[in-house]
Amino acid sequence: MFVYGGNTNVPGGWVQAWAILSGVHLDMFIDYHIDNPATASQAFSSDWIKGTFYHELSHASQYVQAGSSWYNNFVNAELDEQYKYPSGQYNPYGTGGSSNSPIIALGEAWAYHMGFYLANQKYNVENSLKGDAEAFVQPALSDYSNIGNDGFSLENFTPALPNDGFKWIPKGLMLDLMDNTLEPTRTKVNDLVSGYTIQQIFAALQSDVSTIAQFKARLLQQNPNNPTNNQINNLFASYGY
Amino acid sequence: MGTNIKNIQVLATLFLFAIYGCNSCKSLCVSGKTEYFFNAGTANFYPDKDSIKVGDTLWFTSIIPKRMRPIQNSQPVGDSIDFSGASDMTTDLALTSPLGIGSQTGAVDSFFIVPIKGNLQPNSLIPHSAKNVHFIEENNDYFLSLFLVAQKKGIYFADIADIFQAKKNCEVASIGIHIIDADKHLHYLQDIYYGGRPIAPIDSNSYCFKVY
Repeated sequence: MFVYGGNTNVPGGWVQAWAILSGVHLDMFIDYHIDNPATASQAFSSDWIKGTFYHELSHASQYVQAGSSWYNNFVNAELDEQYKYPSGQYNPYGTGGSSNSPIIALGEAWAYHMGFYLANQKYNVENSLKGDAEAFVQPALSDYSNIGNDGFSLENFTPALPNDGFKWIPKGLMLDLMDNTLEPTRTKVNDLVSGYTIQQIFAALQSDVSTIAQFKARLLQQNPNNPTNNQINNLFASYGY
Repeated sequence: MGTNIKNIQVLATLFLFAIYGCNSCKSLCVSGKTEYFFNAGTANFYPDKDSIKVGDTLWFTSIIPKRMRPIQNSQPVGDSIDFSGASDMTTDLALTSPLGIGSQTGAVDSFFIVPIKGNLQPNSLIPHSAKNVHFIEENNDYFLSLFLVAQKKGIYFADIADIFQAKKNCEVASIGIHIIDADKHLHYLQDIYYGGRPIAPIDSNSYCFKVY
């Protein structure tokens, strides 16, 4: 794997173009160029960088788990949406209403969960993210205090928040399957499910699981003895699935 | 073989140019959007009473100044920014009722809600729990005001979400809105929903009351 960090004003596409031209093969690159003073410090924050790496490596882990056919479908779905929405509110994942959306929702839910969950294991409170720009993650500006290792961006994710073009990606779902804490009332998520592990969630991400509904069915099939399974439909319904 | 690889690389480069280069031409925000975070919104309920009767009226007002200083790590940074003329000054006003520990149900239908300044629409994903509320510009502020007439007895939790990514030209702004009532009667939330345990920090920005 080759990792490239670009502290430049060169758009990511040009970095990729240069890499291909020069024969360098990039599996991942992080473009941490700064064009926004309000969010400048975040780009160099360890939790942000590590969270991003964990996010992208989680995509790689799903490639290993679900196979190349699944992964090709996933990448093609994301490329298609980026082509349709090259900028604006729905770049890069789309509106959530296309035939590409189900596999994107599943793949990104996993990556967002793992990115933040693992970064929070190290950094506990997401200092650099509190009130700062983290693309595609809802901020919780009213919250001044420390929240703990669940991290606001997962546990406080609000699936019905107006203006969030990517609220259809259930970023908080997998944490809600795991945690045994009371869901904040503000999210309007009905979370009485607990006890699932990352291993169990990962095990359900199989090659024939390409939608959130299929993921739920496989979780229940593989883990029939979880005592909170009778609440799982309510939890998924809170996220619109 | 080597020539073929070179050709593929050139084609791939042209493809990437087609995607990224042309998009830059089409976009008005060539260098991307600038994202700001503000924490200047306030909201309050009046009268600030622990309990009201069925048929009583509760007034709700929320104000967001047009000029705000960005925040970073919860601290103001830089000069204030004029965010007048923004679109998507929209968020949710939620009303729920506890069913027990960790469980709540939508309670929008327990109130007769009338907008005074701003617009209301059901949140299509949770129509029984929240209304989309849209602020209007007036003088130096964005305003939202409405009144709620209680229709049913019960315990209620109210909250207003932060505004997520309002837009102005090539700038987007997320804006925190704080309920500033001196007493938000959070004991209802702590006693019933949290079963006596400490409430989540994000929920401390709720307002609770009883209708009898």
